[in-house]
Amino acid sequence: MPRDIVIDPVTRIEGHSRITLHLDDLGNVTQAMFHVTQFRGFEKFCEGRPLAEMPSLMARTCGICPVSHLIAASKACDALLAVKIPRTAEMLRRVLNLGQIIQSHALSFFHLSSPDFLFGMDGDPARRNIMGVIAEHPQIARDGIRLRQIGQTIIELLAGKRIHPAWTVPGGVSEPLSAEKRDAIVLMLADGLDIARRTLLWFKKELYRFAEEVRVFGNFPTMFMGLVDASGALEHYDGYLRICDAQGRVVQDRFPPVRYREIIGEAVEPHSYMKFPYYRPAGYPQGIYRVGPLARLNVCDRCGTPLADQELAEFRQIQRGAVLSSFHYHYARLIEVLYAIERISEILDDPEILSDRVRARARPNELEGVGVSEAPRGTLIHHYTIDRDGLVTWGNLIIATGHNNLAMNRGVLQVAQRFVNGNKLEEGMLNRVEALIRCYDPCLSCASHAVGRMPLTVQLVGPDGKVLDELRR
Amino acid sequence: MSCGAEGPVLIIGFGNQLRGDDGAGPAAAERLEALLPADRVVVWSCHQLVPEMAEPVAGAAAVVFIDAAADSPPGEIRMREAAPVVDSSIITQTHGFDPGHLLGCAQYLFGRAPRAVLFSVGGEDFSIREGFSPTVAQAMDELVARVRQFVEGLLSAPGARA
Repeated sequence: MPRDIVIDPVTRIEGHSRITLHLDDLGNVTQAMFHVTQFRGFEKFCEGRPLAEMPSLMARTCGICPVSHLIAASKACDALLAVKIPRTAEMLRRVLNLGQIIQSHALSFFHLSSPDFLFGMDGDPARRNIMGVIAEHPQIARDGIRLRQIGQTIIELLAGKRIHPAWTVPGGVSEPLSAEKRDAIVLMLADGLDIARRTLLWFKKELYRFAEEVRVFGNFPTMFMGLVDASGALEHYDGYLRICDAQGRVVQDRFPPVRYREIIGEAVEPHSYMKFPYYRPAGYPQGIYRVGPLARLNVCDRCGTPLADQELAEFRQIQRGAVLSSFHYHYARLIEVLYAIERISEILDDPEILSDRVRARARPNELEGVGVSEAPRGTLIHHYTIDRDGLVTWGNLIIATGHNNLAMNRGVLQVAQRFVNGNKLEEGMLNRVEALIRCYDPCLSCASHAVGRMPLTVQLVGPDGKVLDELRR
Repeated sequence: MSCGAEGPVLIIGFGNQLRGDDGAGPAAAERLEALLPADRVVVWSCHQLVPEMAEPVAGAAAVVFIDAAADSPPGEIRMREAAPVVDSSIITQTHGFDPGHLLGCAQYLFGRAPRAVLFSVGGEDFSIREGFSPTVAQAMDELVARVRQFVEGLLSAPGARA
């Protein structure tokens, strides 16, 4: 008798979602769906707003990564003004974006996923959460808190506040950086570097314990997409789109982000409010690709900072071609934290960083603008059109998490088929399904930030609606 | 209760100011900031409690939390002691990360949980809106006055940092 398993809500992610697993008569998983059950509507209600409001308005999309939206929106507005922002403003935006990546990656790795690493996928759920980490692994908890604090403090020092800052504006940033604030940021970086290095060391040693998860957690051939700079190095603020295939071969290079619609299509499925972007030349759904830390490390030629490049070289020993297992998003996230700290240090060392020339002013000069940057979870695209009065007439956002939608759905199926026995549910089975989703660190809008045990009920329901089995936690 | 460390008294008003009465804590904190000596009292107005607050909490002389309560009669102001908690089984999400958990973090990670109290005001309208219900709006003056009186008592207690 065919049955369904529903995981609702999915825990320790940002946002609201549900997973449905369809079983056959023998209790084998035959189909899996990751549903995003929340509806936001930002693209619609920005219509009619003045372009100058867009960065602040779009930052409200998310409480975890407002900075990412702020930056992509500001870049789209730069295009509408048709200005080249001052070099110092660009450097400051870069630091802000990297601060965001540090705090967001720390949240994902330490607060949301480290309980799985420390207590095991089958560990007691009463301990397998952030409070368990605090009680039993205080040094790791302290490191996570400190690293996130460093990222947040960088954002606060630059932009005035940690959440929903409005410092990045069309044409640049609203205020220059003071020497005092620069020094305060520099002072924290050594601590951050120590934490990043020792966490990488620890995590690499732990990976052997998760060999089976590495094997089946979203481990399949896809393409990967991310920004690289003109030399092919890792890039988070600007540059070109690069897409490589599962063998690591570049299939699209130096592609101008402004032309994203030539290569990215967006499909819609009835079971989810989140769209399904795909690589247009390959069609849907064959055009599956992944973005985010794993993708960025797969597409770039090098990081461009000394310690991160050493780690990247070791990371690439995992397999020939692209690193395919989504479990390695965690590993890639740590390398990016290391990179971000090194890169911020380099940028703050620039003699022009304290310049007060940080904003180009202009009236709207173009009717269409695209802004693309790398958010912690992947490539973020903001695209607006305006009328002659500078009022927004249309907006399109492709959120980092959306690019991974096809891969998350496919990964859920892979993990469920390996671990879930529909005849007898166990908590550890379902935690693995959720853990697969956590690899991607999806940000489904930050409406809920689950760090512990959310109420979770999983039911096996027969076609007649009768509950055949139930698991609660 | 007296101040037990060299740090400042920390006031943390928390809640969602876009959910009606839930914003009472941050609003009260913002008003208190102008009423208390800045060199001895640090005031935070925030959306929710998070683990990153644990270190400054551990270093505070005392902590005063201000929150809206869904389980008290509307407008009723209550004060109770808050103690460290490390029972993860009762956390459901970060929105459920309460003063006890924050104090527990401070105790476990930074070696000290200061004495703490929670002031709450019963709310009646937590719908998506800015501003308070008439009952809570009327209670705000009293809430601010009681927290102020309490903190001034802490600051003047024997042994408090001058």
